Amino acid sequence: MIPDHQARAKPTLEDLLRVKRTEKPDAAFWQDFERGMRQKQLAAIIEPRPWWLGLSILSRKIGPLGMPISAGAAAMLALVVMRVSPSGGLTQAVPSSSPEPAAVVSSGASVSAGNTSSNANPVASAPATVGTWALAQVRAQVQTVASVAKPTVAQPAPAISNPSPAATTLASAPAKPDFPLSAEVAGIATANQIPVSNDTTASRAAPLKVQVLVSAAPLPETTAPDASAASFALAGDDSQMDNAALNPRQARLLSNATEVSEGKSLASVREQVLHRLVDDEARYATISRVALSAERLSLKF
Amino acid sequence: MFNLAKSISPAHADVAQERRREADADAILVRRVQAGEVDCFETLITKYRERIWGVIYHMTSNREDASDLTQDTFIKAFQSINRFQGQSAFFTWLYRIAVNATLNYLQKAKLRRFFSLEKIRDEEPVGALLDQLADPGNTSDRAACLSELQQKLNEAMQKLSIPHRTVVTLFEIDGLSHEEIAEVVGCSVGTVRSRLHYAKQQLQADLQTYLNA
Repeated sequence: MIPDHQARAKPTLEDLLRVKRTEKPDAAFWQDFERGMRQKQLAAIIEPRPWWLGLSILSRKIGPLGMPISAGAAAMLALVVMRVSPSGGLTQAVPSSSPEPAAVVSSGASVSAGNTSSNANPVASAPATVGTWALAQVRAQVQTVASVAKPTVAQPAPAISNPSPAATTLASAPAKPDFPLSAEVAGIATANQIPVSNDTTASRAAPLKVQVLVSAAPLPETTAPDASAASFALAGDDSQMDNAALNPRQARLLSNATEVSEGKSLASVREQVLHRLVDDEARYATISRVALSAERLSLKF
Repeated sequence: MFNLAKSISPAHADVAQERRREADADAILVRRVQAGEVDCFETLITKYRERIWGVIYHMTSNREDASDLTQDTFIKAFQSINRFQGQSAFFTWLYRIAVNATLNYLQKAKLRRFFSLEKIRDEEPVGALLDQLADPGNTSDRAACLSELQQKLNEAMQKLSIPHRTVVTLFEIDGLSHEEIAEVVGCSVGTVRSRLHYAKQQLQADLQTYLNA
């Protein structure tokens, strides 16, 4: 005789899975389920809403305003990025830990703040303006710009007053075409992010220039900025130099600039300056940056 | 010319029509809940709690976990009922909440359990077990055998990966169509069919002892 379980058809997988459908809880289970459901409902009422849920609700509520807000935020971000960009004539802030402003020795086009080319050496092309570090000392400092002309040029450099609130005077002398090397010594104590010279036309007139920007000595607060500004030309009228108002380091830089200006060529100027850097390290211990570009040598103290 | 209507079997047409009627009734209840008649949500809970519990239980193989997750599913559904816009059927939306909650729970708790088939094969012959199940007279033995077989099936289900287990549960046990499963799980219909085919192959291999009994 054939057993029953051999006589019937073999179960399929669907038959086995259908068995699982019969697996249902009894009525007592559902009573406990409803009780637990009530408790969870009450708990959900007093449960604080998660922050991300609040954000999603807020985003739905301000949905129509979301686009203008996003566009405004993007525009502000773009403005900030453009503001801090070193290219395009915008200013660059000096770190607050920097003890002294930058001194720039340049030749060729003026290296006044914001007048550098974008393809120049990034270090040399950094605008030479004082950052936030000088905010506390702005009132006590003077910006002096002196132009050093060729010795054969007897004319003193015309002074160009900087229209900025900070006391800044720029004196420059056009170089002679056959000896295009001149030097400008500028002592700056500018207010934050104020270009030293806006007279780019005059700067372009001199093909080669050496410009040194140093910090002038602090002046008493009672002194009027314009009255305290000293404008001088090293080769033109040395009597106008007020060496007493300069500290030893600035006087040293001025003397160096004089020597540099009397050099025979730009290459010799660079070599001399670099040679001095090597030989007199103690003297230039405060130099933090030296950069060479096409026609420009920059030193940062 | 190929007639699409003739290709659909009457049973499937009835099921589809029944689903449509259910969806319409659910939509009315949902609108009333959204309008402030929160008592109507009790009707929806009573209507779907067994099905939701069944889906979660077959995915977790644990009654307590299934109960907790079912309660959480309905609470989440109630909290989000105002966001339900009726673009899909309510039960599909509810299933999606339940399946997602279960998947999160399984992935967090790492409840994938691996069982040895050798243990199943060493036990009593499955043919006798099925005979006892088929005998309507012996109710006590039948219930015990049914429980044992369900346990074996749960063990085989737990050997599947979570996505394959989900598809098998929704299709073979809960009776959802491929399209509905795709909507619930959030994948394509082809993916559902592929997962179902692979899962069945694996289940047949695991339950070979039962199938050859």
